[in-house]
Amino acid sequence: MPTPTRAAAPLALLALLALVPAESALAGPPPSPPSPPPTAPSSSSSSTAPALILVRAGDTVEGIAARLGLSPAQLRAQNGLADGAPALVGALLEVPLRAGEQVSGGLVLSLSGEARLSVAGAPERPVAAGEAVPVGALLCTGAEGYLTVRMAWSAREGGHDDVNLMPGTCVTLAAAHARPGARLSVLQLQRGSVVVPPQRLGEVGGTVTVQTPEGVSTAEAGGFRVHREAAASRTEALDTPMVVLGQGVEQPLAAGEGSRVSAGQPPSRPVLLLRAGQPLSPAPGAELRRAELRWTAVERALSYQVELAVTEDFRELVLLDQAGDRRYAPERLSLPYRVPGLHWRVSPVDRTGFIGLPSEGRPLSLPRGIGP
Amino acid sequence: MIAALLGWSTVAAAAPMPTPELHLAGLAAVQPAQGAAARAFGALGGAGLRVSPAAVVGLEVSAWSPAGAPSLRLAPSLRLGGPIGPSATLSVGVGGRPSPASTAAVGLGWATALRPAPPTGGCDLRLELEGRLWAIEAVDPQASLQLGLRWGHHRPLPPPPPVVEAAPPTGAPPVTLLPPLPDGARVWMPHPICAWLSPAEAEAAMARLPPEARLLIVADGMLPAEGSIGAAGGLVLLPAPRQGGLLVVAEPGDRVSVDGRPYALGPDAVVEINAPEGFYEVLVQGGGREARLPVAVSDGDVTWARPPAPAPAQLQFAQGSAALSAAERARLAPMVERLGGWIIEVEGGFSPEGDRAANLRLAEARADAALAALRALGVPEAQLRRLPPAVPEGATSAAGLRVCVLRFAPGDR
Repeated sequence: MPTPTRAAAPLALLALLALVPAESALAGPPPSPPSPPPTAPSSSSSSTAPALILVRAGDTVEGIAARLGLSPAQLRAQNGLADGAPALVGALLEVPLRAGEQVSGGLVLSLSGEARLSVAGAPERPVAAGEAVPVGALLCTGAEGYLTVRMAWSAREGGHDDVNLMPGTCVTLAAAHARPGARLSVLQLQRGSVVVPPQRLGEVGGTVTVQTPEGVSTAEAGGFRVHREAAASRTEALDTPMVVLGQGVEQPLAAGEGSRVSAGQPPSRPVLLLRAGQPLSPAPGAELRRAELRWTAVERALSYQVELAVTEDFRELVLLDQAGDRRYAPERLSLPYRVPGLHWRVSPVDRTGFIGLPSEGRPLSLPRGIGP
Repeated sequence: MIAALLGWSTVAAAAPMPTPELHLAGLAAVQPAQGAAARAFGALGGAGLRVSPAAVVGLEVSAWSPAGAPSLRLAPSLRLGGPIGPSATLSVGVGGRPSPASTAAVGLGWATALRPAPPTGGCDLRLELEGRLWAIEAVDPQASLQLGLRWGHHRPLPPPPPVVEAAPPTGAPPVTLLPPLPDGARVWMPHPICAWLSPAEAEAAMARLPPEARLLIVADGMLPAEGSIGAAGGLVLLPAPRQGGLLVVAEPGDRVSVDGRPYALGPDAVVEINAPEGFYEVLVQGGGREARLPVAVSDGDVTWARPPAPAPAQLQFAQGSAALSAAERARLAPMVERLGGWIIEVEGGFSPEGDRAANLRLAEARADAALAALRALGVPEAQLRRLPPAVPEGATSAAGLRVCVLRFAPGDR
């Protein structure tokens, strides 16, 4: 059994606490104190970055140019396309920013453990929660680091796209721009895994695209994972339909399906992801005393992935680990106690490595006697 | 509307007196005793002086034409009531119908502001509705309803008195309400503010709190400080100890010590400690095992440490023999020493080949020998359990079948 540990407490976990207590708090104890909320990243450092557009099946250079109000020659020149050469499906073309479109860059929303940032080829340096991530920056999590980056911040509509970087992940923020009614974020995944949470109800749609050396995965409402493997990348559509592109082929995926793109190959046919098991113990909200989680077995599951997060939507992870059986009882476990809450869920992993759909999240509480 | 009325009333009540008022109304009158034939329509106007916030003295003229006989009336009046809201009017005078006669009228009315007077002075305009009963000499009583407008003039309010700065206090120096606070500190401001504020915001809002109000101050790396703002010496913020939680997940019957200090197990066999940040060695003994677990406790974290489960032990016997050798007996001593409250389950092993009955008897005899040796080492009978003979799992040789297996079960919770 692996023995996961966390290097440090999350730095911005209190950012989501309520800012203004209600009048009803008069008679009771005061609520938890807030931390200053993260601010929107400045776009000044990356205002010259171009926008990117993904070439989908059926697109032509002329069609894209007409849609954007450009001449085909201009689009070809900007992207080094010879006259008459088609745009490859799955390619990302550079285009000028449209009217009302702004480059927003990214922002480290929360961080647990260690992560490093490199801007414009400068040496990597440790990054902290709340720091801006300009377009073109390289962001890497440590072996025990979890990071949530917020991109394509639209101040006018309040929308944004979040992506979770799992431990041992490196990404480059290739683009993050927003205009009224639309956002686009593009990440280049070098290694590790990213999870794009599903869009929250009522949010304006934002398209998140993850590019790997093998292919491209994109969805308009989040809810997917992408993992780098040796000479392949794996995509799992969890909540909404999406597409995976590679070698000029566009493969649609329904929610609950996965696809693998190997180097030089088109995306595999969709694979049905395993359904989640049911958490058994601890009971919802019960104290985690013996550091043991149990769930019902899932047929054909080779192992399970266990996640612990401080938020109900699992955007801020504090633990990601594997369990071989339907029980997780590590020899060592370390969790922060100065957090608004803890939630856990489990996902089955099949024999080909696809991580299935996660179970419902269950709240946990820490032993009452612990704390200052 | 209510706020406008209150505001207007306040302005009117504060206005210097007397101030002039003019009014003009249309009226409809009826003489109940004479039925529909006695209906009349007319007009009423007047001028007055508001001599107090609730009284206007004036003179009014009314004219109407009941059943073709014009009537004109002149009467002094007293109107009780503020500019806005209910009012009562008494009017006594003389009138002509057909010859001059004394008249008296009482009325109840209601006024509402159409345009309030500005605080800097000027006119207001009101809409008034009033019902009246008239008594005219030798004539049947009449009732009337009148709707009209009233203007009032208001003089500008006097300028506010000059602000006189308070003399510097001569007693004890004022208490410093907030200690110097680190960046990011937050202050809970109780009723009527009820909000977490930054230190600067809190200082500015102090004046709105009574001296007995209790504040709560939190800051990273500090212990929360709570107290009243009038406390002598102010509030003191102390550095919080850097500590975390340590939970040792043991089993019933285990003995747990942390850095040499023994701890009692909780009801769920967990030892729970708040420990300063640092490195610790957790020692768990029981079930024949001794697990030393190095643990790092970091500030703000809960760390769980779980010892491995005890592994089964095997006692080796010679072929065809149930006698425990001295070497094997010696192996039992440290096991018993680390038994704790666990139970030893003894299972004699036998070969599935050959004479099964003889093999079973030999397995029972080997179990008896192991139990006797354990008793001799002081293991209480309650911690010994005999299991039926079995073929040892995973045995790959004949020697592997000539064993007695000792398993460890947790003690009672």
